[in-house]
Amino acid sequence: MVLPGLNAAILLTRASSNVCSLGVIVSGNENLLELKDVAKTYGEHQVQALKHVNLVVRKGSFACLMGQSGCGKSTLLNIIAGLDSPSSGSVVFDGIDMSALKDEEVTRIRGEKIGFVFQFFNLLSTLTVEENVSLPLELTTNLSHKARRAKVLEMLERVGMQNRIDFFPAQLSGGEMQRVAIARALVHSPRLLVADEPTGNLDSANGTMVLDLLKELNSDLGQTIVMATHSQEAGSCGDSLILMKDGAIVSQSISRAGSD
Amino acid sequence: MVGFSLRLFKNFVLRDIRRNLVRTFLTVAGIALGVAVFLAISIANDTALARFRQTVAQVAGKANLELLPLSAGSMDEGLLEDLSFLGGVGVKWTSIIDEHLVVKGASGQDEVIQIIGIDMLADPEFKRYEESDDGGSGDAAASTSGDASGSASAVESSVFAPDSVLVGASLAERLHLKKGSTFTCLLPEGERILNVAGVMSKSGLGGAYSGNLIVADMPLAQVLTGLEGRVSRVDMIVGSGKENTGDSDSGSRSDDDQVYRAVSEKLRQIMPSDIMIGTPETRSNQAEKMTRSFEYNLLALTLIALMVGMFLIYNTMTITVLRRRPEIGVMRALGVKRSTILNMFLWETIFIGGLGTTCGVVLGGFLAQGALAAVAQTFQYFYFKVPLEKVSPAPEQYLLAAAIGMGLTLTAALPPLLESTTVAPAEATKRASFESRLRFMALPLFIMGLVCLALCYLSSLQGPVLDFPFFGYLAALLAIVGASLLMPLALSRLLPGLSRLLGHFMGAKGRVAASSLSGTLSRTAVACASLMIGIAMMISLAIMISSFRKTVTQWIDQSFQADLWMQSQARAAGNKGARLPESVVKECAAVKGVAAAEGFVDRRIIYEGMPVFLAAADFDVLAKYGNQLFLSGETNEAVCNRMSGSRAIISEPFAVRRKLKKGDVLKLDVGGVSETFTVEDIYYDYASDLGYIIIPRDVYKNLYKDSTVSNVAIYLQPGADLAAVKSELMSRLSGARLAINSTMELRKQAIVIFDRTFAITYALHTIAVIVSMLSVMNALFALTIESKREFAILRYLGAGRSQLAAIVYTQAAILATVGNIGGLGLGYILSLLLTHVINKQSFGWSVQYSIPYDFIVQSSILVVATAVASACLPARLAASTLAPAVIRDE
Repeated sequence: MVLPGLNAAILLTRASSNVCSLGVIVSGNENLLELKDVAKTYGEHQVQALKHVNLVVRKGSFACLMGQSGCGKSTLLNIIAGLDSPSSGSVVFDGIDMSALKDEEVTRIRGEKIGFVFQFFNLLSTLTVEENVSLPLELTTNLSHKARRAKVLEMLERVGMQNRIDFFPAQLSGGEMQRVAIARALVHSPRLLVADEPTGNLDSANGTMVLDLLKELNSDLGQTIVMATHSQEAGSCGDSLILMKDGAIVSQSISRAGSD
Repeated sequence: MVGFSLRLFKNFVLRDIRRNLVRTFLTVAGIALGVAVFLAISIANDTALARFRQTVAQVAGKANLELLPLSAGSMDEGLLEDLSFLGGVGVKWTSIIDEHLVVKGASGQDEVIQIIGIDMLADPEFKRYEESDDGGSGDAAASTSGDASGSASAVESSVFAPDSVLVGASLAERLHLKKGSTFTCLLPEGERILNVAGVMSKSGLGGAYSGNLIVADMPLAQVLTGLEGRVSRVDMIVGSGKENTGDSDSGSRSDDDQVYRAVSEKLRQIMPSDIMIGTPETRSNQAEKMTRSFEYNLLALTLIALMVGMFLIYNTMTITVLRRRPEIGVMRALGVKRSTILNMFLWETIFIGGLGTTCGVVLGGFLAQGALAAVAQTFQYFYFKVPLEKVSPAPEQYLLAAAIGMGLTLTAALPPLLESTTVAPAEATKRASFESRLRFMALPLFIMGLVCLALCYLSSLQGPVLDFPFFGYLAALLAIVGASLLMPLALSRLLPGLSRLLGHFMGAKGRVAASSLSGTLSRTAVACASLMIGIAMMISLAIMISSFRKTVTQWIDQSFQADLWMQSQARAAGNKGARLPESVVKECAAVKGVAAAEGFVDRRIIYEGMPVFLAAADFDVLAKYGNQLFLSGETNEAVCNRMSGSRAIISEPFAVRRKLKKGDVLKLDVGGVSETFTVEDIYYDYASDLGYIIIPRDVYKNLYKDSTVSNVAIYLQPGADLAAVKSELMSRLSGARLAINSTMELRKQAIVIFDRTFAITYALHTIAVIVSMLSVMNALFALTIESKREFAILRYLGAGRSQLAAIVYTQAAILATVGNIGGLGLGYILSLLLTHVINKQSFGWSVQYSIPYDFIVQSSILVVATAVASACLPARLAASTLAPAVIRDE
């Protein structure tokens, strides 16, 4: 099933157990991320956090993950980002099978190609705005100070924080902190932006502002985004909405915002 | 309520300790080391004095009254004629020789032992020795009888045989001696073979000096010690002995007490004023006074190790409280009282402190033997020659160490304990509030630190209190506290700049490392301060030792102008009483190539209740050839040329301790006649902290009727062949057993003795630095745990494990470098206090300040390298950070 301008497809696959799992192809012309039959179990009691998840994310798409707390959204994001490895199944990111790589290689790919935005911003309180945003470049590239600074300033300008470069996180509002966090997540031009409840800790005005910013980045720069959220409003921002329940993808709908 | 508290303790405290085992171990280890060195040094010091007291008691037996010579090491035997009245009042008495003798050891080396000379016909009560079962040369020196006098008589017959002596069990075992065998002793005039009349068991007199002694009949003892016609002292038993010291009020002993007082009074009347009427305890008390400075200095050093341990416990408890503020907040919100919270942390402190103190007490018990071995040679060389083989710890020493360990732990933990109770439930969840409070307090603390340093300066200007450098130690404490209080502000100013600098050179790793330290200033400041103190102690001691060493070697080079030094082998082996006849001086002077020879003699006397060396020198020769350095700045020649008649020069330690200056008058009691000497000048001297009084040799000979010499300084003519002269001297004086050394050899010997003396000091500063390192490691662990969130974020941002580890290593390097720089500054201040205030007031020595730059550079590099190495475990912890788990927890 392919919709014009939407470029998303849902593949229904048969799960090995009694659970049915939806396979999803999200947006774009070219696959950026492909999860095949991914499962994740934790601990001695083999708690199943993810059950046979199949997901394809295409370049330039904006996918929203929704579901109740504990449904597996964060686990899925961590596996997508290479922060956690699946118990079974495979994760192919940008043509590379992540599950076959060593930790240091996964770390390098994560540093170079993935950006993160968190609910609680997670800025380093002892660093200034500029220093926080500069971190990914310093950790993963050999850019000169001048080049680095230019990129940082450009990104801060894009998120409207160019006047706060010497501020410390404690001196910023929640919305401002999240904008800085988005700048930090994008400063090294990642292939994928992973956002975990980016508006969960913001008031509605600031939440809307952040969502607008993400939409703008997706539409203007073609930035691929996978966002987990509780908020219906946030969930409607993307070009597809993926619902999760008990560790499995249970439905996928196409947002109007994502269609032509 | 008790049950609830216990459950809280179990769930809240014990579980947390289990979760943080490494940090708990580091803290316990820090406290344990501090307590252990304190206990070890205490036991070693006390053992030395206890052994001296025990030996005095064993030799004295039941004697409870003594006649002791003050102005000479011995008293004229003729004085004993005046004691005939003692028999009439039921007082038993005997004369004693109590001196050193050099014997040839089993492997040929010379060793100094004690010789006790007693009148074998005296009352059996003075001869409390027993013969060993197996006749010697064995471990089983069991007594043959509980009746000392009975068994004594069994060996007496052979004791009267020529050159026959009784031998202590330890000596017999070491020299493989048994009844009937022989051994060689070394006298100034040559070797002499002695026969073993019996081997004494280790009880009674045979146990004195740990069994390293011989007992001889008086005439033989006098010959062997060169004290013909003289005795070391007179022992008396008044009444039933020992218990009667004239102070008892007991009705049952009132008669004895009256006799005691009467006899004492009578003796005071008939004895010359240079004979002291005392008790065996009088000698023990003198020894205690004599060694007090040495002991206090060692104890003060151990207190610094304890102080570093205090920082460790403060750090641990602060981190524990801060880390668990959210939990405290929740509990407070649930209605748990402040006092319950306080109790919980108090019990945690007691648990950790108790564990550390217990381990320290056990460890200290083991270390004590090593500490005793380290201080034994210093005690024996400078103060008294009592064998110090095994420690004899007293229970109260363990109790004191435990009390100090627990006391300091609780004191150090008090601020964080109070902190745990003073936060409101809502505030408790805000971790930053404590940091912001510290930042707010940084300036007031800095000002308090400056005030402490100013008080330190003022204290350093004060004189000693009862001969104890109280204000010197206070100044050192103020310097340590003051420097520590400067740390928060200094770090809050330094770290942001350092963050930028490291960011420039190392990128994000350097910037995050420095900024994290800046963000957790409370921990950083404590870790830096504790490392600073440890390093300061190391640096200050190194400077003090270097200064002493330089001073002593310069003093030898400048003052010891003679080319050769001659003394008897017995004296060279350690018997300071061994003398040579005066004739050797003339014989030396007659050897071809010798320009002059100067005879020098010294003897230990009691001056105003404390021992001092009285010496005599030939100032005519000294004026021409010597180069004594005087405090007045006058030349050697000028001072020596004035030295005739009743004039004396005194050493600096004697002048400082007795508060004497040039022009003062000394009163020496010689044979009951008071002789006065004017202090002509004060000279620099580092041979003994007891001090020297040097008078002209002719005056000395006239006063003491003693023409022997202790050693001879031989000055060669220009161009004379030193080896040839030495050979000629040995051949001319072949009858005597001589030791002839060049000044170079003398200097080497002095340095060996010097290094031996400071061996314990090196050990102490090493331990202080180890405790500091534990503190740094502890702080790094805390920082790493606290920085988990930062590390997790960095992992999200693409930081590899090695990059996280690099951050921790960089933090270790920053802590070590800042601690090192602070330590250098504080160490410099402490070294000034040690050399110019504490040691000057304790020992009276002027020390030329000398900084061992090479040692300081090497140790600084080593400290930073060790600190970075100590970050290994925290770095692994950081590298293993699981980003999702941490962020989820957040």
